[in-house]
Formats: sequence, structure tokens, C-alpha cells
Amino acid sequence: MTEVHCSMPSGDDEDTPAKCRERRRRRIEMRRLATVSSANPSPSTAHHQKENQTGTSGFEKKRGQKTDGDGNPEISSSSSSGEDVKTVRASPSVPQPVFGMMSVSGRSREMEDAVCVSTCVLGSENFRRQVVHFFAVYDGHGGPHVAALCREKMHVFVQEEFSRVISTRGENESGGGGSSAGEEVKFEEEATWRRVMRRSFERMDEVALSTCACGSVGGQCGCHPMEVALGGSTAVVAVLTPDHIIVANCGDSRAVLCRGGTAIPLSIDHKPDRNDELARIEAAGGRVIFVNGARVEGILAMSRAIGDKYLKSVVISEPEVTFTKRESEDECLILASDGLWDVLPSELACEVARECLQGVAATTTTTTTIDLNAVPQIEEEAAGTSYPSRSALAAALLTRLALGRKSTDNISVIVIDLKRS
Amino acid sequence: MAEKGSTSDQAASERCFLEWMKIQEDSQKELFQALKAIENRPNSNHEETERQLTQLVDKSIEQFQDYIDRRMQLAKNDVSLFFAPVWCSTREASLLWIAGCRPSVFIRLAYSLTGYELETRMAEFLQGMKSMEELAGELTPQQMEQLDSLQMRTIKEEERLTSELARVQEEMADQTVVGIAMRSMKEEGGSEELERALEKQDGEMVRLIQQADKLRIRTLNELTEIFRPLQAVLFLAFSKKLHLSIREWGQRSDRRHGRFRNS
Repeated sequence: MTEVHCSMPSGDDEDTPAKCRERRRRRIEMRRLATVSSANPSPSTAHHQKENQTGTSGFEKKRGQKTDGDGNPEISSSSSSGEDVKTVRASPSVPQPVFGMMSVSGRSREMEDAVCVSTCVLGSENFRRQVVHFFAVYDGHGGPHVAALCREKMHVFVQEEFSRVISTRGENESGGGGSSAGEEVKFEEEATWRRVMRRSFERMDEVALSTCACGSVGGQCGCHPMEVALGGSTAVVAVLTPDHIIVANCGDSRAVLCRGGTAIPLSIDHKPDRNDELARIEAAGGRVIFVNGARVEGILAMSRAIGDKYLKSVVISEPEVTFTKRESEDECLILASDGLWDVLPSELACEVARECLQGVAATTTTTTTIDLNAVPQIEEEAAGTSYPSRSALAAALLTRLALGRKSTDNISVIVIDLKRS
Repeated sequence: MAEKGSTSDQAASERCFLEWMKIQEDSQKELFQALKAIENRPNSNHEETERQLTQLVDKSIEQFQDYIDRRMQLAKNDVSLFFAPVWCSTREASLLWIAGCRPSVFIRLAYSLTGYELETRMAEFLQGMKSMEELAGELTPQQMEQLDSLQMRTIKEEERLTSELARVQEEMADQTVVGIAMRSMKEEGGSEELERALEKQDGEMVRLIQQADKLRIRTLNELTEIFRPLQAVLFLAFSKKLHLSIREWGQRSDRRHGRFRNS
């Protein structure tokens, strides 16, 4: 309750019309100045804020810092409380991915989505000295706490599990002779990632199952046991290496690859009425009941999830993992919660994102045309204080499209530009 | 005298509301006219246009503040009237939240407006007839982020006030109040104790309206600051239009159900 007051812009009785008018004037003035100085853009404060949140993980050697020199990583992020960006730069030459994201509560009164981006989640310490980036969307149900836990921990587990594999392999490999056949390396890499993802999801689920909605671990709190049992979350995790895209999915959030103009799903939603999932559920002694769509025991509208203690053994947390070789015609990767996918087909999402990323360099339109819908002052905000990257604009546009199509859920979207990453 | 006082209070309150509706109507016309003028003169001085639009936004907000102030003075005399206003159609009354509109509705309206005809423009964009800059400029990522944050804060405060209202309403059933009511039935005529209890509740209701109004105007203020002047004018024009339309639909359905009132 008090938080609300604190977060409101000014104390009681201070929002007089005169003051607001004054503020609005200043805003317009600032925008004008921004337009003037658009020739030398300054880094966005939003980015700094995000990056200053750099996490608690002991693996991070150095805090990411956005600079304006050459090789400036074009990282753009937007939006609300439910997101987290972590940047670790091992060395100045490490390539940064280009991505944009948007996460809004939309027409829902509660925000249960969370997104997490951790660039350079693995530095050059891994076995092929590749830099690896981590992206994830989590869509919570029965409260925001499991999704929030995933945002906090999943990438750390991926880091730890990968390091564990590498350290054991390091010992074995040092004896072996040089480079083996390429196919073999690929096969090994794929097996490694599948194992890392499975283990990370397993550990994530263990944490979710033992953490109460109030945040306490191990049932020490006085909360009702159902507080622990009721919450859950989807998880779609994408790991980007220079050569591959690894996607691990659990639930009905989705990853879609846009390759040469076609949409390729890299995950298949875990819906209870999916043939193989239905068979698995029934084999585990569960039932799928149609109440407002197919639901496990008439309750949960997805067949796999992190958490959901009361449906465990039927609703499992084991991810399905896809391992995809990157190709030159890959355009972008879109991760999103069902707030987007429920109203937007993958093909259209890809088309829109692709069009956004492809567009010719921003022509600084100086038009003063004003019509009801299109507001022309893009150059003010865009070229001024913080030029949002094309991928950030793509994420925002997809979100708006979902809102325009009356999505009633939280909407979270990450667009990763594969041409520039 | 007491009787007379209350009826004239009611008359004044109703007049206050009807005047406000008139202001809404005039203001709506003015705002739509301004938008039309801009459409017709696309090449007019940009800065000058922005200044004019900003003035319109300021005027709207000042008018709203003015109405809220006047209403508050009246509510101090007869607060229940504003929770169950006789001048509203039943449809309007059914949409009330603490004697007014829900502040979160402002944000929903903003989302609806920015999504309006977006599909058409998106199709144009995909066909290369519209640039991404144009499309994205309608609502920038930064603005979306700000809208989202405003929405979350507004809903939180709205929920706080809702449970505050629940507390005040539930207190009606507290032992002391029940005791007073039972006694007063036997004794006939109002006891002083009862009057005091009711006055206390009235006082809390007045405070609730005050806080709800504060949240409404604050949300509106922040929203118009997130928006560029043209967007803000567009939003205000449509919010007024929506308000007036709901009233019109409500009056129509009241008549259909045989409920007649003045105007």
C-alpha cells in the first residue's frame, strides 16, 4: 500500500494543474532540444538502469557497460518490472547480440510474465571458446512467484551445468589428440546442451517446488501449503552460440525462427490435447478434461510446467530441446508468451519482425505532417535521447499488434536479430 | 429547514453534474475540431501546433480538476448521493467506482486507441507503403514502457482504495452500529450516538472520494505527459466521447425499461 504512494511521482497535493502544465512544457522543451542534438546521440538511461541491475551471480566477472565507441553493442530493452537484462563482457572484442524486448501486463490486472536476457552467459571459458547468450520468457500462473524465480535462477543453472560439463570434459580431452571430425564435435555439442538444459530445468523445478509464494524456502513459513503447491510457470529458453540455436521449452510459450522469410517453430507448445502429451498424461494416471479448453485434471491448460506441485508426476518439468544449426539466411528469433501467440500466428509475427529488421536505414524524416493515427515526430524520440534498435521496435510493434487484436493476457516478446548477432 | 436544505443540496449537485456534462460536450467538440484542423492543414508550423494542442490538454485537465473541486464541496454535505447519483442513468451508475470512473479505464482506452486500425496500417507497412518509423512512431517502445508502469501503479492504488471501501462498508455491520440501530428502533427518532456513527461513515466516504479523485486526476495527468500533445488530445477527445456515449446509451435503455427522468 505504501509502496504505491512512494512510486507515485510526487507527494500528496502536489499535482496541481499548474505544476503538471509546467512539467508538460518542460517535456516538450526537452524533446525539442533532443531533436537538435540528435547528431550525437547519448546512451539511454533505461539501458544503464537495466544493466546496473546486473545480477548476483558469482560467475559474472565484469559488469556490462554500454559505451558509444565502435562496436557499440546495440542492446535495446524496454518495459516493465518483469524483466531482467544481464551483460557480462569478457573482453571488449566479445560480440554482443542485437535484441529487443517488451513485456507488458496489457489487459490483465496482474503481471505474471517475466523475461530474462543474459548476454555472454558463457564467456570464452567453454570448450570451443564460444560466447554464448541466453534469452528466456517465463509465463507464470497462480501468481507471479515461479516466473520470478525462473528469471532469477535459470540462467545461473545453465551456466553452472555447462561449466560442470566442461570441467569434466577438459580433463578427458587434454589427453585426447587435437581436433576430431566435425560431425563428432557437433554431435557431442548437441548432447552436451541437451543434458545442460534438462539438468537446468530439473534444478529449476526443484527450487520452485520448495519455494513458497512468500519467498521462503523449505516450508518454514506459516503460509498455507497450497501457497507452495499452486504456482507454476512456463519456460522457453533460447541459447545462442555462434553456430547454433538451442531452445528448451516447457509449457505454452514459444520460440519461432524466421529463416529466409519462413517461420520455423523451434518449440512445440505443451498442450494437454497434443497426442503424445495426452498419451503421456494418461500413462501417468492423469486425465485431460475439457473445461474451457483441454486442461490437465480440468485445471491447467498446459501439460508441462515448472512448479505446479499439486499436478506433479502428470505435469512434468522436463523440457523438449531443439538444436538448430544457424544458417546465413536466418533473420531473427522470436520468443514470446501466449499473450502474443494466442492472437498472432507465427508466420505473421515473423513477417512483421523481419520487415522491421530489414528496413533501410532510418531516413530522418523532417515532415511535419500530422494525421490522426500516424504521429510523425519519430525523429524526436528515436534519433534523440535513445534510438531504439530495430529489434526493440519489432518487439514493441508485435506487442501493439497483440494488444490491437484484443489479447487479454500479459504479453512478453523478445526479438533477437540474427543477422547482426 | 433541514429538509429544504437537503433538497436544494441535491439540486445543486445535479446541476453541478449536468454542467460538467455540458463542459464535456463542448470540450469534446473543441478537441475534435482541433484534430480536424490539423488534418486539413498538414503543413502548418509544427511548434505552434504543439503549443496549441498542449493548451487544449491543459484546459481539459483544469476543467476536470475544477469539477472535482466543486463536487467535493457538495459531497461534504451529502456524500451518499454521489455514490448513488439520481442524475445518472442506471447504466452509468453500474459503471461507477467510488463515485466516478475507474482510473485504470484510462489506460485501457489508451491501448484501444493505439490499436485502432492498426491492422490496416500494419498491412500497408508489410507492403512497403508505410515506413517502420511511421508505424513505430505512433507509440514508441519508451511510451509503452511508461504506459505499462503507469498501469501497474494505478491498478495497485485502485485495489488499495477498493479494499478501503470494503472496510468502510463492512463497518456498518459492526457490533456498535448494530446496537445503536436496534436501540433507535425502539426509541424512535435519531439518537445522537447513531448520528455520530453515520457522520463518521460519511466522513470516511468523503475521504474515499477525495482519494479516488486524486488518483483519477493523477492518472490522467501522467497519461497526458506520456503522450505527445497530439496523442493526448486524441485520447481526451475519445475519452469524452466515450463518457457521453455511455450516458446516451444508458438514457436510451432506461427509457426502454420505462424509467423516465428529466433530460
